[in-house]
Amino acid sequence: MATDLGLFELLVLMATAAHGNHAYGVVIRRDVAASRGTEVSSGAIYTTLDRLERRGLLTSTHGDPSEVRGGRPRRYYQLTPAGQTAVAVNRAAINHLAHLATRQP
Amino acid sequence: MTPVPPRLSRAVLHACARTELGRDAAADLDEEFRLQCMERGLRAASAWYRRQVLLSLLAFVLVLLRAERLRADMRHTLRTVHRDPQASAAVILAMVVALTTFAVLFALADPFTLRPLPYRDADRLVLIEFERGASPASRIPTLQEWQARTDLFDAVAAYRRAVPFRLHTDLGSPTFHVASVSPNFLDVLGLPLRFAATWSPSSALPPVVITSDGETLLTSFGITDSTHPTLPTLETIPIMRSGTLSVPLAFMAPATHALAAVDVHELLTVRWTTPDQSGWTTSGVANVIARLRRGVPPTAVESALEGPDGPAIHVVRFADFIQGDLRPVASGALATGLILWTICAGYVALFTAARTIDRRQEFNTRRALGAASWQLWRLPCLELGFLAIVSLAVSVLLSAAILHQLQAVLPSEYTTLGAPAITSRVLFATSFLTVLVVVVGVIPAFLTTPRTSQGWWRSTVATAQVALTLSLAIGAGLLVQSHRNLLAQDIGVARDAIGISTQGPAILIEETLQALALVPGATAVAAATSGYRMRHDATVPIPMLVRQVTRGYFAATGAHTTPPDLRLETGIVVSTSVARHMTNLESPIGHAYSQGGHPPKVGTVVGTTTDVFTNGLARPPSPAIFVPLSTAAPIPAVQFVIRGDVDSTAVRQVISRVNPGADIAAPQSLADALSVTVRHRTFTTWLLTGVCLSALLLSVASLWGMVAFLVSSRRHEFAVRFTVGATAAHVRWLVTREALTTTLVGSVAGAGLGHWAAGYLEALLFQVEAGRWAWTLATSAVVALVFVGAARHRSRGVNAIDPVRALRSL
Repeated sequence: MATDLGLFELLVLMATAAHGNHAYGVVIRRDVAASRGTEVSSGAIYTTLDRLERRGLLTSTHGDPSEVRGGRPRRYYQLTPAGQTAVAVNRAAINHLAHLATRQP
Repeated sequence: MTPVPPRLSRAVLHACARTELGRDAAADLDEEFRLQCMERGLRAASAWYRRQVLLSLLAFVLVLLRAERLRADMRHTLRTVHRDPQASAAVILAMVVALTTFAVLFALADPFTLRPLPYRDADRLVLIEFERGASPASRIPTLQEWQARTDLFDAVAAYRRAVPFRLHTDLGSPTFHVASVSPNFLDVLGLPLRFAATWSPSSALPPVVITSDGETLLTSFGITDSTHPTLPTLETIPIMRSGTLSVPLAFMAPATHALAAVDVHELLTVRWTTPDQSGWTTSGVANVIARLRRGVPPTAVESALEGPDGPAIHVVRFADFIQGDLRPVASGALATGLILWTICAGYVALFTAARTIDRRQEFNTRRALGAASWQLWRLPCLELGFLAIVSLAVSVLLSAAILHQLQAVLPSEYTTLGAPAITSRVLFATSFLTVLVVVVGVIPAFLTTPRTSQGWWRSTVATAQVALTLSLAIGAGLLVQSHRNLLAQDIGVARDAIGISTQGPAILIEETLQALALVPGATAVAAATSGYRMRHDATVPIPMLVRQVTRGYFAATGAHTTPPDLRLETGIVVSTSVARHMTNLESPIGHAYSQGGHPPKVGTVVGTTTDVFTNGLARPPSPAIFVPLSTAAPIPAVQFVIRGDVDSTAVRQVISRVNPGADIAAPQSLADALSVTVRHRTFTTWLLTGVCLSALLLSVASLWGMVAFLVSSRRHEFAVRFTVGATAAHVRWLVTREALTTTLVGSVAGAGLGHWAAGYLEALLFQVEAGRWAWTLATSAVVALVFVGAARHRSRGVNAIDPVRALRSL
């Protein structure tokens, strides 16, 4: 099920969504690390991105080669419609729970 | 300049991350490294990069482990390891020995060989040392005069070694070692001060900067906010600024707790004169540290500053000053660690090959069922990888424990750049070597699976191991013998003579000596200044030490004199080496001695004394002259010498009673004080001996493994031989013969290698001839016997061969 995501996967997916067409490894890693407040490895981000791509929630395209990256191009990720649905569903669930939590005495 | 990520980490990441995903992650890290450099600086960015590489590799490995096929393979691996627990334990043991030794040696050697100094542009830092010239009146320049030479220096600072201060607080009065520095000292070193409060230059009071060791100082007084200037005050210097450094400043003195920035005039012109009648004066000069302008070589400084009447100047590169003495030893330690790793890798290769041959039937079955070659190779890889991970984990824990234990016996030189510990660099290097062991170890599996069982590499590897072990044994034996000679030599002072260094505003010599003479057990007492070094003077054209001593000094130290009952107060006493230069084998007694100067100080030599190893046991004794020290007037620093069976506490109490407020060092035997100077050499000797024993253990295991391999690979041949009537003894001899050939060839090669390499140990040896063939041959014989014993023991494995079963498995 597309909405059955772990917390880390959800964070990666939301960070990707936040950057639109300009989401790539570095910015996603920095956003996820900032949101968790802990060190997150580039390897963990890419293995998660790969998993999400294989599940059909993301697609990726290559940019232009860059000298600062040793001649490698950036790999940009975009959410697929299924990915957008997953983000929307999870966001709604979180908002609902947060709303309930604030109502508790 | 474009910042470059740590090379080793980057190389490992790029080597391991072969997939598209891995390459993208590696490129991301390269890009983000630049961002990190701009945001947090190069050091923090490099640390971040290393951490990222480790975590990323871990993430990739975890993804691999999740694969179903891999899980099945892992279960199979565990079963295989469990099937032959002895062999698996032997491999783990070998890897633990090699990796632990390497990790410890790398932790010790890395700061002095591979890691750059933790100071900004350290290659431009130099130390400037002075030596008084022929004229005692030659003036030492002030710091401002150095700083004015902007054509040579970007900045110049000065420091004096740490001296003890007493800290007065409500919680007690502990003693801390405080070094005096010029206010720009940390700027010249390029060391940022963390949590430092701002110090106003208009303040009349000099600031104190707490160094990294000061963490203890801060926390022990319950101060959590180090920007708050409420630290307790030192006896003489109030603290105006405090903070911590990330780098220890142990090069100034091992126990430096704090820095006191003082007036630069005072720092460079500190000159204390002994107010006695002889007119001999001594002076203390600060060490000058300078940051050279870009493109100025250190040699240019000497030629530009040295004048005909000025002091002689020596410019020493800061890196050489800190790392120079230890660099050869550290490089040797690293090389030794790598030799051990090579021996271990050879052993692991033999193990894998033997096990692959044993599993030939299983591999054939798998192949018949359609398994590809790479699927067969994966099994030995996984098996070895599992053993390697276990070994690495054990090695890291073990090396951390060993390093912790070493702290107690580690010479202070090794802690100049911080106490050795399992840092991320050590972890990285050890992990890298572990991966390499696996890579090297599985190569034989590729060569022997599934058809081939013979390999020329087998004998080559074992021969090389024997040769390397033998060369290490020869070196270690020479060092041990040298060390024994060093400790057994005549050091020129009696073993029961005790020295007590005392400092204070005015030490009363006569009164203290009278009181010390009454201490129960004291047979002789005397006092002496620490002296000063003369480059040369009018009479003796060699550098020498000038010391002022009271009468009875030679009796108190136990030094031999000629004549035995000389009267120092009537003239001068010279050491044997000075006498040799004065009169060329004739007795110098009665000759006039002139120190030069205007007017020249002239005295008559009244006696000679044996040379004393004031520079330490490992260095030649320093030529010295002894002049009378008047006991009438107080002086600020003196060493009291007392001989006999005395209570050291009582001695301190006596000195303290006569000189209240004086700083009295712990009494120390003069012989022990000299022995401390060879602590570094002692440590090196025992370290190499330990490493040599590890190598021997590994090599014996390796030869044992080689014989096991022989038995495995020739099982069918032996079965045929048994069938046609060969006895077990005959077959055992066949196996042992090959091991003997390996041992013989390895021993000859090792003897030659060790004999050649011993030449490089010449500088570390004392009264031992490095090139003695008798020693080389004796060591070779002992080591070869150990190998032959191991081979004979393992060759008994042929007894377990069942000809029927062996032939059936063909």
